[in-house]
Amino acid sequence: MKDLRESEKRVFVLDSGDLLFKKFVNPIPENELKGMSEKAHLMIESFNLMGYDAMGIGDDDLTMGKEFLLEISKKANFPFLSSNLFDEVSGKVLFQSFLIKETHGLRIGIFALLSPDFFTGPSDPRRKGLTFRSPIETAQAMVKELKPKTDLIILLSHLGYAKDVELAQTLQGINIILGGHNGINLVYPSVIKNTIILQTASRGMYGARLDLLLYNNEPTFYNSATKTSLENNLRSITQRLNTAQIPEAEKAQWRKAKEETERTLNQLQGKNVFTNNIIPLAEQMKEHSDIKMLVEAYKTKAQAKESPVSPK
Amino acid sequence: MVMVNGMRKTWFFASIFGLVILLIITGLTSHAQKSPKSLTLLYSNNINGEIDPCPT
Repeated sequence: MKDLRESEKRVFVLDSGDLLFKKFVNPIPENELKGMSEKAHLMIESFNLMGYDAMGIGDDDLTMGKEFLLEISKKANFPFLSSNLFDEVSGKVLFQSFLIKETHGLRIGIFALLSPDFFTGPSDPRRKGLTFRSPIETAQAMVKELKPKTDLIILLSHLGYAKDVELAQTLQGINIILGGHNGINLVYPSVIKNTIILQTASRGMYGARLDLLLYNNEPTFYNSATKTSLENNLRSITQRLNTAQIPEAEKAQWRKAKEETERTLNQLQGKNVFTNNIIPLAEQMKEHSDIKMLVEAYKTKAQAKESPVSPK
Repeated sequence: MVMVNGMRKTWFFASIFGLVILLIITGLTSHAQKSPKSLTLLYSNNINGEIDPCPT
C-alpha cells in the first residue's frame, strides 16, 4: 500500500464498514468493554498509519453505541461517513454526509449508506438514539448534490449485495458501489446499468484493488478481463481457421465468429476500463513496522490481563 | 519578376508554417487521446476487528 501510494499519486483507500468489532450477537459484557474499546482504538490507529481516506459506517461499528463511535471518530485522520444516519433527539446528521476529493483534475464524490434492516428491531442496543432515512431516497439526494460538482461518484454501501444491485438498477449516477456486510469476494464484479459493484471477503483475508482508466467523460466502463477473454477467443478462432483439414462450411462459421469478435473488440476502443484484483493477505506479506509494533503491544497487554501473575 | 519570386517565397514559407502548426495540433490531440486519467482504489470491508492474518 505504501509503495503504491509513493509510485502512483491517484490512490484512494476506502472502507465500507464493520471495521471495529466482531459480528454482533449479544451486547458486550461489562468486563469486556475496556478490552473492546482498546482494540477499536488499535484499528483506528492502524487505519491512520495506512492512510485511509474515508470509512463508511457498518451496523457492527455501533456495537458500543453512538457516543463511543462519535468519540472514536475524532481519533481518526479520515472522515467517518454516513448519509442516512441521524440523531434521534436533534434530528441532525451524526457523521459527515459526503466527501469530495480532488486529484489531478479528477473530482471524486464519496457518500455512505447503512441499512436499518441489519438491526434486530427497535430493542437492538446498537440503534439506540439513532434514526435512519430511506437509503434509496438518500442516495437520490446525494447523487443530485454530487453530480454537478464531481466527475465520479462512489458509494460506500452497507446495504448488502442484493440491495446494492437493486440500487444500481433503480438509480443512475453512482459509478462505483464499494459494498459491505455480506463479506463476499466479487472477483469478477457485476456492472449494472453503468455501476460497478464491488465487495471483498470478511476479516481482512484479502486486499482489494480497483484500477480505473478514464479515456472520456462517459459514465460507461468495461472490465479489462472481458477484453482479455475476447482476445483469447480471437486467437483460438484464428488457429482453427489456419487448420487445413476443416471443411469449408465450418470455416465460414469460424470467419463469422472472428468478424463478430473483432467488431466487439473495436467497440471497446477508447472506452473507460477497469481492472479488479483481489489479493490474499498471506502471512508472508511485508508488514507495516509501526502497525506490527502496535498490534504486538496490544497483544502483550491483553495477554497480561488474561493471565495475571498470581500472588505466592 | 522579382515581386513574383517574393510572393512564391512567402507562400512557400506560409505553407510550411501552416503544416507545422497542423502537425503540432494533431500531435497534441492524439497524445491527449492516448493518455487517459487513472485512478486506483484500495478497498476493504467487514474487517470485524481482526488483527491476525486469516488463512485464505
